[in-house]
Amino acid sequence: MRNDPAIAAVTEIPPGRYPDFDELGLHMRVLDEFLGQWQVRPSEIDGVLAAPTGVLTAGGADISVHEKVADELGVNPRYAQSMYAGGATYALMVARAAAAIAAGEADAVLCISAGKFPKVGASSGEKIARFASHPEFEFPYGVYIPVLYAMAATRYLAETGSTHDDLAAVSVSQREWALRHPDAFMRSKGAITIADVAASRMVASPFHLLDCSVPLEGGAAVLVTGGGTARRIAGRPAYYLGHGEAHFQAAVSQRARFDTGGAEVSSARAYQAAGITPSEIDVAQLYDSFSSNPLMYLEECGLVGRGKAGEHYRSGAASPGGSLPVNTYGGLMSFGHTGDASGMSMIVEGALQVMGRAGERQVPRSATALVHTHGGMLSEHATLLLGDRAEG
Amino acid sequence: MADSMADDQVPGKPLPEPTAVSAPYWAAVDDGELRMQHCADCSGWTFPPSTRCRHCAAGEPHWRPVAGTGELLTWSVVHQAPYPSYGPDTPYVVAVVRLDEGPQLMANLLDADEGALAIGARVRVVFEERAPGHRVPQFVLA
Ligand SMILES: [Zn+2]
Repeated sequence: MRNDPAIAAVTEIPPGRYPDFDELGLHMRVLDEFLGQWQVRPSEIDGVLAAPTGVLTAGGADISVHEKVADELGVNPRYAQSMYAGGATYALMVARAAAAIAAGEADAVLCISAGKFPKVGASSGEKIARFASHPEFEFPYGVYIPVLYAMAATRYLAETGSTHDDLAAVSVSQREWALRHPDAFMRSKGAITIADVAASRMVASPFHLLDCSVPLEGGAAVLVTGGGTARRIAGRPAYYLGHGEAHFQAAVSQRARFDTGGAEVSSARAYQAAGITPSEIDVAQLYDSFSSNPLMYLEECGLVGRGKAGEHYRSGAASPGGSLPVNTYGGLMSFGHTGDASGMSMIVEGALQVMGRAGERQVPRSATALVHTHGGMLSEHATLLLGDRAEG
Repeated sequence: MADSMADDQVPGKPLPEPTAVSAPYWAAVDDGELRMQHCADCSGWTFPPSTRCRHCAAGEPHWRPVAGTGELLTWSVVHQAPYPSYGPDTPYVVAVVRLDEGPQLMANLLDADEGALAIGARVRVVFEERAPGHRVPQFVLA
């Protein structure tokens, strides 16, 4: 790709509670952290990609966040917009930024987001349920986000013969990783077992509480630049190798298939774009709204055979020291799910692993990372491939 | 063609808000009949309702009754309700069914024994009254 686009810098604030900041305020907090951590001057940034705030909360969405971020930086970008594809937004931001850099439309694109996950209470629970479902043909039936994801999980378990123990093994592995991440929200809770997951209260079958991600607040920024600038900033940047995306029916009830999440389509497009094969992947970051998602994505991205993902987890292959580590930051289930910004977390970690900056959780082989993100109710998919060398 | 569930009326559960396009669907449901849009050109069924066939884009698909029988595609047994009106029903089943004619619907599977739930299980439609004169389609194991 022209100009060798790469992730030059990443910053994520610890997931948690930020009662003194609204979503826009959290963006500014992320900016402060980013500029404090990296040798990047605001004047070098000529592109800004942001996501709307307020999508899940009362009061409506602000879709001009990119303008406010640019104002805060004090720059007049030549490339900027706010964009939205749910959790898949940020992999698509990196892809769009890389394309802009390759086309010479920008030199340094800041991708940024911050989010809050409204607590499920009377009115916000109903608002989120309405947002996630078809308002006329699904919402009236007592559905909300866990139920809509559970539909795919039920079918996946039935089709592959996997069990709840396989789901629980994902939660267990990700907690192991979280114990090695200083900012992981669930680090203080210690290790968990398959029995702990099974004993946690039932939410919507097959999901128990510990099969679900942890709703929190936070945010992150990712700077995509040309290869030369990236090498100056990071030494060893995470080059953009390629991406693939796929967008399916928004209404879960209208899905053609329930036993796959759609990653097989987006990952095939990503491998083709990057000119690599699944066997070259050293580490995978797979969006985990619920424990079922990484199982499905491991298989759909061709990293293990059909029905083999549970075994991959139960054997320890996904865990520290394993042959193909997955969600090395703890995932949204143990690191934390930062509302609409959650799709940033696995990109930040994928980049840190390739850059060799993952500290205690650095995997020994991290030349090539796969990041898979989804948005909506498994309706939007984006697979991002990052590597320690530029795509040919 | 199907049971009336008037006795099971639960005040406060959400009522669908019909649009100009979907109004014939809900009017039929209120009368205890399930109707879907059928295309004269390609014989495809379109649901949710539209002004054109979702298979071949031909205009004005016409409303036609369906048998109200089908099979279970997937489900979840819900133990934590999203809003108060469903609280007393927990645990309840949310399901996606595929009608024998092809269209897929989400609904609750009523009075189902969890052990009897299986992919491909036969189901049939029933109608649950949510307000006087207003119903929603639901399903039971056939
Ligand atoms: Zn047609």
